[in-house]
Amino acid sequence: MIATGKAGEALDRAGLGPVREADARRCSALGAEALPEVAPREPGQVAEVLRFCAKERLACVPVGGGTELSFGGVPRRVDLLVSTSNLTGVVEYAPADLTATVRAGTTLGVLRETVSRNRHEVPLEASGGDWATLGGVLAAASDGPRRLLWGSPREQVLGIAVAHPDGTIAKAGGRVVKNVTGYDLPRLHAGALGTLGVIVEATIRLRPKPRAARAAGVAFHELDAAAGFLRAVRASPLRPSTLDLLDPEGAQTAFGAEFAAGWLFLVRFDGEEAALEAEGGRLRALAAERGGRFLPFANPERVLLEDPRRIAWGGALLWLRASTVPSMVPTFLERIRREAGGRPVSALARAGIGTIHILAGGEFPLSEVPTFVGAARETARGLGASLLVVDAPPAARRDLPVWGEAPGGIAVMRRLKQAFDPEGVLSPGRFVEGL
Amino acid sequence: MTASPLVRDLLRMLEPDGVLCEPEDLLVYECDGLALFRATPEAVVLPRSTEQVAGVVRFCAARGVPIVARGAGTGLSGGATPAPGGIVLELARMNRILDVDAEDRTAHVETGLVNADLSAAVRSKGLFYAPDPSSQFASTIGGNVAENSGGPHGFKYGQTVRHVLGLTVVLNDGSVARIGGPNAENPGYDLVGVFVGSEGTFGIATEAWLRLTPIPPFVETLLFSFRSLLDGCRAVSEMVAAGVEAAALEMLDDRTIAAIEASVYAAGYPKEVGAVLLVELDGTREEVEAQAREARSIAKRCGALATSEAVEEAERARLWKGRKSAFGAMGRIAPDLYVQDAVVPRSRIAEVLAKIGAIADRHRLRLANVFHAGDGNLHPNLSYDARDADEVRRVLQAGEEMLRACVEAGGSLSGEHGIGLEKRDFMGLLFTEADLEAMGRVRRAFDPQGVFNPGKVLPLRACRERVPAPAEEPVAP
Repeated sequence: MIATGKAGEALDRAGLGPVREADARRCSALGAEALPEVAPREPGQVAEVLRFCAKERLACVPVGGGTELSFGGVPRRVDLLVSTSNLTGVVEYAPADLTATVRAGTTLGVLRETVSRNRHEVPLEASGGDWATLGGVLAAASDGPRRLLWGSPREQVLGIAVAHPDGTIAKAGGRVVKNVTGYDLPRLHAGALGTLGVIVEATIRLRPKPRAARAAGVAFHELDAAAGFLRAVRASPLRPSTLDLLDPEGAQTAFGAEFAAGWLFLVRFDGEEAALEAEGGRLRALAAERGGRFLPFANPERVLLEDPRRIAWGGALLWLRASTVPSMVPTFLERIRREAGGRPVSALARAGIGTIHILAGGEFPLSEVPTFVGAARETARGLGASLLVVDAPPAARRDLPVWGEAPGGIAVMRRLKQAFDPEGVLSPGRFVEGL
Repeated sequence: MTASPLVRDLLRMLEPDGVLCEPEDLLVYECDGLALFRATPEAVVLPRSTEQVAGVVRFCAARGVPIVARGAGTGLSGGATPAPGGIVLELARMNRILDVDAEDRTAHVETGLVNADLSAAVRSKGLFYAPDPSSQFASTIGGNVAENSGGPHGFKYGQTVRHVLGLTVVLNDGSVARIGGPNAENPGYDLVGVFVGSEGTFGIATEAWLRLTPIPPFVETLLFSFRSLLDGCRAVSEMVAAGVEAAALEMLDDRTIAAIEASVYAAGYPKEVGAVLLVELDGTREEVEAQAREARSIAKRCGALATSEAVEEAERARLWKGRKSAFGAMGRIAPDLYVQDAVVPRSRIAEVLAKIGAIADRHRLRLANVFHAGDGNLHPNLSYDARDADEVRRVLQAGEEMLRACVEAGGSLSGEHGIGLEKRDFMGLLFTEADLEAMGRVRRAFDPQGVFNPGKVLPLRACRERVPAPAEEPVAP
C-alpha cells in the first residue's frame, strides 16, 4: 500500500496537499495502521478539505497536538487526518482587553509564553500541557487543577471560527468579554471533539497572573477524615485555586515516599501576598482540627497535576473520568478502591469541581479491563455520576461503552450532527451514541 | 366575548383561570420592556406544570400556532413581543423552589421563580444567586436563562450561563428533555450552554438547576470621582490589568449624576465631576483590603478627585443607591427612556463614548451614560417623549449609529439585553450569511418547525424559518 493511500492520492490530485504519512502513534490511537495527513496553511483550506471529504465521502479526524486523539470512541471509519499544525500564530493579542485571538494549531506553550511578557496567564489546562493546541483543548473541553479558580474551559472562549463540511467557515461570538449577540456557538463546539466542524480560530479570555501563589499538601490516614476536611474547606470562606485529592497510590506515584500511605490533598491559593498568608493559616488550622499533616510546598507549581497520567504506576493502561458533585467525591473514591481490589488502580479527584480521574497502571491485566470498566460504570450510575473512557488500548476501546448511557436531549444532538455533517465525515462514531 | 376555537381548545388543557383572552387582559402582554414593538396575542396561557406546558406546545405545534414564552416581561429587546396569530405562554405560576442543596451549592427551581426570591430563600444558608440584572426583583429565572442576563456583578461572577447547570426543556414536539445537570461535566454537546441566551427560540425551559454562590465574608464599596470620563476609564483599565478582581466596576457620567442628584433618588454623589466610578470588592478581609489599597492607588494616579468608602451594609447601599436608581432618575428628564446596550473592547471605551456623545448631539437628544465599565458593556440612554414622533425617529436613528460605532471599534451588538426584534436586522453588521446560516442550523435542530418565538434574533432572510407571519414593525414611525 502506498504510504498515504487512496484518500491521500485523491487529495493530492485535487490540489489539497501536500499529503504526508501520519505519525504511527496517531494512527494507533484511532485504531488504524497507516493514515494520510494534510495540514492546511489557511482556515479556508481546512474548509476546502472538509468539502472534499464530504463530496468524496472520506472520513476525517481533525487533530491538533494529538494529545487527546484517543478520547472518545474509535471512529467507525477514518480515511485521513486533518492537522492544524500549520494553522498557527496569534492573530491579535490585546493586552489591555485581556483577550487573544489565536489560530487553532497554536500550542498552549506558545500562547503561555506570548502572554507571559505582560504578566498574563491563559486560563486553560490540558493533560497534554504545553503541547496541546488551543483548538484541541477547546474541542476536548480539557481542564485541569485550576478550573476551580478559572471556571470551565467553555467560560474562556469568547469567539470562534469553525470550518464545516459544506465548505464554509462560520464564526460566532466575538472579541469582547461580554456578549449575547447571536447563539453561543462557542459553547456548542467546546467539547464537541470536532464532530460538528473544525475549529480554525478562537478568541479567549486571559487573566492577569496572580501576584503570588502558595501551595500545600494535607495528608490523612483515613478517607473519612479526608472527607471531613473537604467538607470543612468547602464550607469555609477559603477560595483555593486548586483542591485536588489523591488516593494513597496516586500520591505515592506522583510524589514518592515523601507522601506515602495517605490520602493527599493538593491545595493552592493564588492572590495577594497578605491574603495568602492568612489563608494558609486557616487551612493549616482546618487540617490540624482533623488530624491532617500539613506539608507546605516550596514551589507552588509542583501541586499542579495538569496530566492525570502522572498518578499511574508504570504508565497508564486505562484512563476513566467520572463526573459528579463535590460532596459525592469521597464515596466515589471509596467504592472505586473496592472495585479495584488489589489491582494497580489510582485516583485523582478534582475535589472542588467533582471530576475524578481513575488510572489503571501498566500492570493492570488487560483481560480484566472490560469488567472493571463495567463495574466502574455501575458505581457511577448508582451515585448519579457519569463516567467515560478517556483512554484505553484501541483493541479494548472498540468494544467498551466509552460514553455510557445516552444523554438527555440526544434527539437534538442527532439533529445538530445531521445539520452540520450530513455526510457523516467528521470523526464518525467518536462522539456520544455513535455520532 | 365568545371564545375562539383556539381558546376553547386551550381551556381543555388548563384551568379556567389559566387562559386569558379578553382584550383588557391581553393589553399587558402586547410588549415587553421595549414598548416600541407591540402585537396582540390570540391568547395567553398560564400553565402550572411542565406537563401542561408540554400539552400546550404539542397542541400549538400541530396547528402551526407560534408560541412566545414570557417570564415577567422585563426584557429590553422585544424578545417577548407576541408573534402575530400566536399565543403567549407565561411561566409566572411555575415559581416553586424544588430543592436546595447547601453542601453542593445548587438549587433546583421552576423557571417562573423571580430572580431575587431565590437569593432571599437561600440567604440563611449563607448563599446567594449571583446574576443580578437590574430587573432582578421582577424578572424570572426563565427570562434570565433566555436572555443570558448579566448585571453589575457579572464582571466577577459571570453572566447567567455560568450559573445554569441543567434545564428541563419542552421541545417543539411537546417532548420533555432534561439537559445537563448538577454534575461537573455531562456527556454530549453542551446543549445547556447554547440554550442559555437563545431568547426563547429553542424551546421552553420549565425547570433549572442553578449554581449558588457563598455570600462573601467581607465586602467593601469604593466610590471615586474623576474630572473626566477619560480619567475614569483609564483607572478601570489599569485596575483590570493589575488584577483587581472587583465584584463590580460601574461608571456613571456627569449627566447621569446630575439627574440622580436632582431626583428623589439623590445619593449624595459629588457634583460637578465628569464621572463617578463604583468599585465593589468582596472576599476575605485580607483579600479585600489588599485589593482596595491597589484600587485607591490606581485611582489616585489617574486623577481621582474624591473617594468614599463603605464596609457596612447600609453605607454601601447608599453608595449603590444612585447607580441602582439611575434609570428611574432619568425619568425626571423626559417621560420615556431608550437604553442602548452594546459592548466594546475595554481599551476603547473612552473613544467610543466620545463618538456616542457626538451622535446624540447631532440628533439633538439628551444622552446619559451609566455602564458596566469592567467588561466594556455600555448603556448610553436617551431621554425622549414617545408622543413626539420626530423625536422617536431621531432616537432610533441615533441608537443605530451608536451600535455601528461600537461594532466599528471591534465591539458587539448586545452585552446583556439580547437581540430580540430590536437588533435582529443589525446582525448583518457582525455576521456573514455563513455565520447566520450556522446559527439557523442550530435553531432548526432544536425547533425544526419554527414554533418558538418566530421572527426573533436571526434576520428572516438568513434563517430560512417557516415563519407563519412576519413580525410586527415598530409602531413608532
